[in-house]
Amino acid sequence: MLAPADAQSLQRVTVTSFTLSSDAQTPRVGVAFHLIITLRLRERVSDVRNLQLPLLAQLELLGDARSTTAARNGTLYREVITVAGHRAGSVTIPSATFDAVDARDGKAKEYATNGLALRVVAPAVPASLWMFLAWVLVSLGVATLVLGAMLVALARRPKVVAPQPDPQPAPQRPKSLAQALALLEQDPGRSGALRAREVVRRMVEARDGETLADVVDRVRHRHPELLEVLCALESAAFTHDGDLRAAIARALDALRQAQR
Amino acid sequence: MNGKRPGDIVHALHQTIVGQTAVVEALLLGLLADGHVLLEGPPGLAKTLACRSLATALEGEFRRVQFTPDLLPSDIVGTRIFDQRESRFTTMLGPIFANVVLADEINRAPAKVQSALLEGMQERQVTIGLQSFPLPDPFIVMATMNPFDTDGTYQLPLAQMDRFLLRAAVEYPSKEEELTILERFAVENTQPVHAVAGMQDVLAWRAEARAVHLEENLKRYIVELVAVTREPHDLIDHGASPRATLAIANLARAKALLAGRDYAIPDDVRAVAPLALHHRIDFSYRLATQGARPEAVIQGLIAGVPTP
Repeated sequence: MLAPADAQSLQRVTVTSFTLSSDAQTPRVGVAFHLIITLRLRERVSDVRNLQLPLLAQLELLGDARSTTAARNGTLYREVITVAGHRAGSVTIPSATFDAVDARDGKAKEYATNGLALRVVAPAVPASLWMFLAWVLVSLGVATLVLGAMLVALARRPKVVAPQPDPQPAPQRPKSLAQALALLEQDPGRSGALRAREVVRRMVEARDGETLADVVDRVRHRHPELLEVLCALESAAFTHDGDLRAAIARALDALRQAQR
Repeated sequence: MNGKRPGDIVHALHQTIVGQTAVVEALLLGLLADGHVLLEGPPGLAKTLACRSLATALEGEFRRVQFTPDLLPSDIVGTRIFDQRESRFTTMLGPIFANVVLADEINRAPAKVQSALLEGMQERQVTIGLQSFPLPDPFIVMATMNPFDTDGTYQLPLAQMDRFLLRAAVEYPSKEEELTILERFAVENTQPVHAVAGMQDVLAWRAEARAVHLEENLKRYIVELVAVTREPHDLIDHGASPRATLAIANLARAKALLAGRDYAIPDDVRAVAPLALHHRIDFSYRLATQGARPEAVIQGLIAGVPTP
């Protein structure tokens, strides 16, 4: 029930129906659909005031069209709101409300529509994409056949000994570990630990924003032998001065161990 | 170093609370870093249970205040009443005089009530009439907020949010965790938490946390993390205050202590930074219109700052 002061500015009407509906129960992400508010009044009015739209926090509002049709037997007000969902999941749309003085008893009332619960679903794969995928599969099949035929033809040709490729350059890891070890041995202090840590981080291709946890996650399976090196150097780089000597010794041990 | 460790509290809390690892850790971090905690999440996610369990595990005095629109400051801090037998005024201390105070749904009370609590949180003392009363030590306020039912609520201004050391989001449990909840609570109401440490242990842990070493380059990293929130950004109106810098440093120390270290590493700083930054950043309205999440914005900012 509204306060009397507010009631003075309200329309005096008889609400016969007030509903909220949607033209799609399971709209797709990114596809526009409509919410329709329908208000039927027994009286003839030229416009409808004090109608509050529902809060559409989970949807993007794309447009809004209103129409008021006054006929002999009353008024039909329709408001069509065009919206789109940008995330798959459940969307709850609260009620729209309409404040008016009920012509039957003269009391100010707040009418409310039903609420809506919709489910926004992931976008469908367009037919053109299916056609494209089919074309890719067919092309791959044809390419495989051609390649197979070429391989058979090549296999029947007399064999020629291919020149051996140049030996691969030795992996950089031992070199980097040796460099880190040398740095720490030359300068067994905080700055040496930081420089050695930087060399090892570069070796495992650590990016700027990565921390020890990120690097450990990445190298845990590929280079388990480096985990102790990484942890020991982290400790040497950040521990307090009282423990620095012990931390450096541990880092040196870990580097020597990893080199073997 | 005493025999009881902060990890014992974590273990005790998980006897009752299923999952919510981040929340339990956030409560512990707040406790160790001597700050107040804001928990934000939908109802029914064990926010209150977590706070109550923490108080029980610490053998501390626990009080809960349900914030409502008709609450008065005197309902929080206490009041003076006239004793007819003695013919004089006596002071009735309010529920704020406890070691662990749970301010449930803090945004449902008007600003003057929030201020009364927040003043106590900041000053660690309360003035009733002409007399000031110190609050117990340790004293930790855990406030909860429900992000959904915002009708009839009073949003906490940024200046008041700043008083909370950290803000943790309480998320829905996983399906497996929910199944465990179903099994655990089907046979008993709640498994009672036993006291595993005392208030003296908390004070000792706090001293240990304050002594955790923070290397110079780590301090610079913290300053950079806060500074980047103040740089022009589409989705941010105002960045975090220097109080955020202090909060991150204290929380990183607490995090290192929880991990059993007496020195902090970049991982500690990066893990606690979102807890200290989220509620101190004034996000633009564009955040809502673009459907962006504050957590993602903060993670993006943090990822852009090179680690030492």
